[in-house]
Amino acid sequence: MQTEPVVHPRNNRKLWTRLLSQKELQLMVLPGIVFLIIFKFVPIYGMQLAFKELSVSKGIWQSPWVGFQHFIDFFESPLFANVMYNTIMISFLKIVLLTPLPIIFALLMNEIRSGRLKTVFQGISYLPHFLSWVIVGGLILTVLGKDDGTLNQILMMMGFIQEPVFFMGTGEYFWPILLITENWKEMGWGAIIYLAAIAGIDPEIYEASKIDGAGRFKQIIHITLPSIMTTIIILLILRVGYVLDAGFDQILVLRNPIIQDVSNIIDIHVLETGLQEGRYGYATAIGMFKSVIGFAMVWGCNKIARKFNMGIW
Amino acid sequence: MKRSFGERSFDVVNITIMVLLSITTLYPFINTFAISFSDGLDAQRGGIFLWPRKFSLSSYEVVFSDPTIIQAYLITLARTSLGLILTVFCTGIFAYGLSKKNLIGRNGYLLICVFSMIFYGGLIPTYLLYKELGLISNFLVYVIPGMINVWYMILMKTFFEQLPKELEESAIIDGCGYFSTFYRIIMPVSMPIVATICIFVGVDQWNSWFDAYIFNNKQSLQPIQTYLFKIIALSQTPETNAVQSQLMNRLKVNHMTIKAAAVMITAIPISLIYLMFQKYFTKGLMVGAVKG
Repeated sequence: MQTEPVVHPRNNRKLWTRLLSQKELQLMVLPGIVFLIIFKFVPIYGMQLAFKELSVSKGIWQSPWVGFQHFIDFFESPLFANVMYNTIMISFLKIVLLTPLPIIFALLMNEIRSGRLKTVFQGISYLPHFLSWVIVGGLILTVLGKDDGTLNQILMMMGFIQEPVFFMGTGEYFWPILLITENWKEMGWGAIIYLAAIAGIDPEIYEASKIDGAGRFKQIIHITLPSIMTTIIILLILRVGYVLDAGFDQILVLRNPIIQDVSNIIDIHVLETGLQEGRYGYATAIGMFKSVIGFAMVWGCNKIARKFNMGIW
Repeated sequence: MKRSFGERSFDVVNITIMVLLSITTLYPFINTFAISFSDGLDAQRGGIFLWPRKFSLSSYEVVFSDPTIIQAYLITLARTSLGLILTVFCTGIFAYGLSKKNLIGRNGYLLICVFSMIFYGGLIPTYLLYKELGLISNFLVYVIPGMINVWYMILMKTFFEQLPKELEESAIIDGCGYFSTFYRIIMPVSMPIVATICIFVGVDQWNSWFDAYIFNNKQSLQPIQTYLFKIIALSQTPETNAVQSQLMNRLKVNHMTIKAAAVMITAIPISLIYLMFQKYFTKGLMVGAVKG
């Protein structure tokens, strides 16, 4: 890029001298900025592929424009409704059903009197968070496998079922499995922030309520829960911003071809049409559709959260 | 003060719930652990819940004699250590520069950072960029794209901004530049945040499999998690395909015990590290959790 013609030589020189005087500082920052421009902004620029048909011989920049054709194809595709429904419903169910659980867990954890027990319980509950979905998937398949799965054997031993249930191959079970495993992995970890909020409550409030004769249950309802309400609301708002992220890693690990129609989410659709079928333009368009909506949601939700002084940035 | 009956029964119920939750959390590990140490044929009969009925190390022998797995393990170790150093080093310097209020263009730089954090160019454009940069099927694809992490930058920047100004002033007066101030003064007092970021990056790198799944086609560069993913994905596919039977033939042991052993050798190191450094994990990560 060419430098702008110098309009105000004096001002410009001043800026130059100031920049030169902190050249070491600028040198610490500029490589990072260049890095971000290459690795984050060039792909954004590359999104123009959503309006093009990639021709391998010409490359992205010279490929012919096709306008909104890929978007139209996506909206008219029979998979569109399925993919959107799965993505939003899985995400919605996760938000609605899984948000209260870490809160309840934190409230109960806070009532454990013995410090040592508390450490042990917390330590165990955080552990799955540090494992990848691949490992968790491996563990889950051991437990939920059809013929050799432990849960099937336990259920059969106890006489609940006669035949092994094919948990991973039955559509109706897939979403419950997603919800349960997500909660299994993240509940303890998710409780940390609430525990931190609870730890910040002034102990004098509890003392005062004790004098007024409030039991522990009343204390939870009337003191602890209202005190962490702001935290709860903010986390919920921020989570809603990511509603189009239904859990790519998790679903990619746990899905299989039999239950395709309940496990197709936007990210999976991009992966399949783009990298597996080679329809780069089409997949970029779907990705762009998600990025733009996702950006607007995150931005908007963060704006709201900032009103409470707790945005992400 | 004597506790009432209601209070005491609440405690009992509460601790019971916690014990049950802990068992639910740990049971899949115990079960997989038991299966991994079981004799292949015996495990096929099922009924292994807490402890191997017929103890055998053969699954681990097979796993550890498979050069692919050893290679994958080495790749994971390499990407974790190199990724850790690069990210902490590069993001640290970047964060330190941005923590200086007198930095010219600071607001613009921060805007670039925040925007890059919330607007994702998408998988396909990223893939095509990596292809043009020659990162596809290249070990560097594991460590380069994460070198500058805006999220960690914000955590570090916040920490640096809270350090007392006098700390650096004396160094600047002594004629130290920003770089040497950063190494000699800032880094040593910033160990808490550096340790936190190390944990973040280390766990991330150890657990990464998607990048290798998408951006790498070479078996020799495959990290252990991706290898495991492929085993799991294959075992999920109902009909036996050529790759699967080839894999089974090579492994020569029961599929289930092998899978369990592969899960274990991937899960155990990170679990042990977690247990050893639990105090630091939770203390340090509290910072991240509260902010995030």
